[in-house]
Amino acid sequence: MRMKKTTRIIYVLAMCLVISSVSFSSSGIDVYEDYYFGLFSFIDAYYRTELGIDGVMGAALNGAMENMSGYSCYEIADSYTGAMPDGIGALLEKVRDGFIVVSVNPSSPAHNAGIRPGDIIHRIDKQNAAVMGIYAFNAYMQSNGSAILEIIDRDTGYIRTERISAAAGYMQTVDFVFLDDAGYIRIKGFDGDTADRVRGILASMKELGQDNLIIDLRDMVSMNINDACKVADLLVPRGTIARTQSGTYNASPKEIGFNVAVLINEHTKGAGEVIASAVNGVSYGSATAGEAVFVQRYPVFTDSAFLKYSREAGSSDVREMLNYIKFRKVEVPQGYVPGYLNIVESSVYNSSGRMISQQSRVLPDVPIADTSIGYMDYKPDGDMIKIRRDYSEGSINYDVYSAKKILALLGIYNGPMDVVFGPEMTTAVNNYKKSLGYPADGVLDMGIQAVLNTYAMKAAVMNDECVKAAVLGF
Amino acid sequence: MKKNVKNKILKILMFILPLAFAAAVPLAAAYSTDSGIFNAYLNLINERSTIAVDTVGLDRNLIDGALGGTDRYSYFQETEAYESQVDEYQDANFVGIGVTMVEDLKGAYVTAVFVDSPASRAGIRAGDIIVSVDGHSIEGKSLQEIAARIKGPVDTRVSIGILVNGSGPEKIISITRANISVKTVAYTMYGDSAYIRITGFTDKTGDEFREVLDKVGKTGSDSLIIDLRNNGGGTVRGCIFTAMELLSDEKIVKLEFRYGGYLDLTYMAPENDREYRIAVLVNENTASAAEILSAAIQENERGILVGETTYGKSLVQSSYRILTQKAYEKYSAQTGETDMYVIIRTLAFKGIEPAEEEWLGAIKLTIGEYLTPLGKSINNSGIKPDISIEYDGPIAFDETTGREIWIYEKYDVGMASEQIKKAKYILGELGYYNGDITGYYDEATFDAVMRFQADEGLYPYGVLDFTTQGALNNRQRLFDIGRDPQFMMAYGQLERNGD
Repeated sequence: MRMKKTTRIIYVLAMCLVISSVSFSSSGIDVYEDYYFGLFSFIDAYYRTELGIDGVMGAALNGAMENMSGYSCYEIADSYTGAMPDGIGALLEKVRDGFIVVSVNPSSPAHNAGIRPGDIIHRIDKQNAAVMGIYAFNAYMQSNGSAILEIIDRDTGYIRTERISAAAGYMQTVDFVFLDDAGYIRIKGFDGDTADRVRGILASMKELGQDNLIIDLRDMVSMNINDACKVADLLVPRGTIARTQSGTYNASPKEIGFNVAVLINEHTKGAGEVIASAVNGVSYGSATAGEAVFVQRYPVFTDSAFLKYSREAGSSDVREMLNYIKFRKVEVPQGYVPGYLNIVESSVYNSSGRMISQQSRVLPDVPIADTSIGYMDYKPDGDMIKIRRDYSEGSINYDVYSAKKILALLGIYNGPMDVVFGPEMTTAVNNYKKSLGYPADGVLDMGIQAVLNTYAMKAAVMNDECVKAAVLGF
Repeated sequence: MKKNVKNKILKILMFILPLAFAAAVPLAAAYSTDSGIFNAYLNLINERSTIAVDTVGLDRNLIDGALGGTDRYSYFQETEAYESQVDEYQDANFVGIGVTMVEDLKGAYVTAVFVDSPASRAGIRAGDIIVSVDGHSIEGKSLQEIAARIKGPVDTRVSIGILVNGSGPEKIISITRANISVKTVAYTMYGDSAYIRITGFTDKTGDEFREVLDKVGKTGSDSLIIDLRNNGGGTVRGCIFTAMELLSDEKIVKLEFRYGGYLDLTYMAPENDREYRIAVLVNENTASAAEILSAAIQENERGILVGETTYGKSLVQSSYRILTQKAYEKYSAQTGETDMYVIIRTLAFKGIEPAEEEWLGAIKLTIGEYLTPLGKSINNSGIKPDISIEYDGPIAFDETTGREIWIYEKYDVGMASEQIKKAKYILGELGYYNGDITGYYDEATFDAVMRFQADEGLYPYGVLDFTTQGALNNRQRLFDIGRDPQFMMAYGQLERNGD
């Protein structure tokens, strides 16, 4: 695990580097460091839990960006280590006020609590999320089981409070459903593996001879422009995908071989807008948000590491130091980088060279009145399981009935269709778990419920207005 | 985790550290840097960001930002906010207009207007929304900033823009600031029990509480129903003096600090020969110091808690003033010290008071946590009542109900006032009056007042004087109390235990 982290940091460092020479601004900032470090060490020493001097300084850098885009922020490095634990069933990205909800998983605790893409998780059990890592947040949710979240509402800007429980089941960045007449891919956000996952899905569609593809970008507000370009590259035969101040992302020339439909709405933002404008296909839904920024990430060293590298590089300019580290291939130990600075460095220009803004949104070719995602708005009596707890023989719950319906659809259950978990259900659950390679313990646990829901999704996706229009369009 | 911290049990009689505003202890070794890292990253941001760093507000932004890893109770305070906080809690005496407020989308929502305050005389009511102060909109401002703007020297004028009942056009009212004394304890007898409502804790709450207990003692009652509902806390000192009246040779609370410069403290109540049967009313808004008192009574088995699980705030804050960068450089050179708190202490010792503009503001910081007498942390989880019962209706003495008569004028036939309307409402509930509930003092009101006075043993002359208004308010409270299920549950329990 440690080895992996180190390589990752070097990778991130390499990504950060901009080779152009550094221009010294004449109006540089020069604060009295002894004054601030005196205050930082005071806060570090007196506050009831340990913050670390690096953490306090990082937080102060967060404050220095107060007048800038919310995506300019300091972030503790912990969210870049190891596998992400289950959080609340929402994909998150770091912003200065906390974590912005990029997208929400159906039937997750986040969904059940009415959390929507664009909401910002601001405090967790009264603890500020301003410089907390996403990993730390998810781990906290997992160990506590539930927490009181203070959420900045995306519409009003005011804070509301929700008690919310931890999610069960790993949150994927991509949902995929094989419909009868098309393949449906919903992109919910990005991690390092999103493009690979989409590539895998496209390959299996080709194998099965399915060439109608629906890409759903609705209700997704990610600002991960780099990863969005990688996903778009799978769907664009040639030409520019997007341009930022740090460079232009061009598609590698290739054959696509899919009829593509793209679903968008007013909560398709940033990364989604890049994909939607680059992909040559028919778009359905409503106009996108018209908001994108390009965020550059810089490692923030500890004081002693900074001193070491600035001496070696012969400069205390951060970018010169990073260039030195890159060209000398210096291996930076993990402990030297307690956090990162995300700086909004430029606007984003779409495939046709226009700056993504409220004046140039992506407009749908086919406007659809109802742009809500079908399987997100499932009814209480719908076909999906509201994942809340485990069930076993003797349980009586509506979710048991929902699970029976899905198992019956799969031909595994053929007992009474009611809310009671009877012996036939135990047999069905055991058979199903065995077929997936899990121990046959008779428990309809939350993980299995999530797997069953993917089958129920198909029915719900088919009922989606935008999907219906796209299928008709093929 | 903790280093060099000695536990020390103090039997406190007269000496209590004013904890909420404790003097700072210097750091053993302040961190210093000569790498230039901070300026390097600030310049990186400044050069690369699409928007340049705001250098004018940079000092405040950096310090407020530095608290980003802490909790909702830790933040940078402007000097006015710091000073008004000290006045309000330490002296229970502050210069304002006599309202309590909560944040609202449009400004500040008035939750209560103190009796006989400048605000009540100017006609501000609970439910109004304050939207401007001295012509400046307060939309989006924090409550502390709003309060700091409203407050000012005694006898000066402030103009307040309000939306009557939260809507309609803005109405501008000019008010003269006055000394407002915050009373935190009120009581009335109900049957054999004393109903004591504590709305918050100031440094004077202990004294107020003792006075009430002296009065209760004269009635021969030993049964107390202490209402801590919607009590959001206040000073630890006020809470401990209150607890000392109820406990005897028992632990009240333990305060645990992270930084070794503070000693952890266990507060003990001295021996006390008074014995009470106690029920405490709590709800989800009972927080902080009010939770200390609740837990102390519950865990020492001095009484029962009735109501709802409490809020769960067991964190202790302290505010520390900070000098501007310029003043720090100046006084650092003058004193030869580098630690800001050593500098501030040295200046105080030498009798040098930095000028107002040399203070940047203050850092309010969560420095510790209190643990219940049994050593439990209640942060986030709250205290569970012994008897759970929910209620969110009006609470007696709670001025937010707006039913109390504000006693500042006598009324007689022919007069009109909002207060007369309230008097008629109460007389109606008591069965003395069954006419229209208007603000006009007519013959029917006169008759009703006279009969009420006769029954109460007051001089029956039909004039709504101060004594009569007080008696009406008291009857109104008894009415409210009788319809309060949490109170009645507590009352029933004490009655049963008394038999």
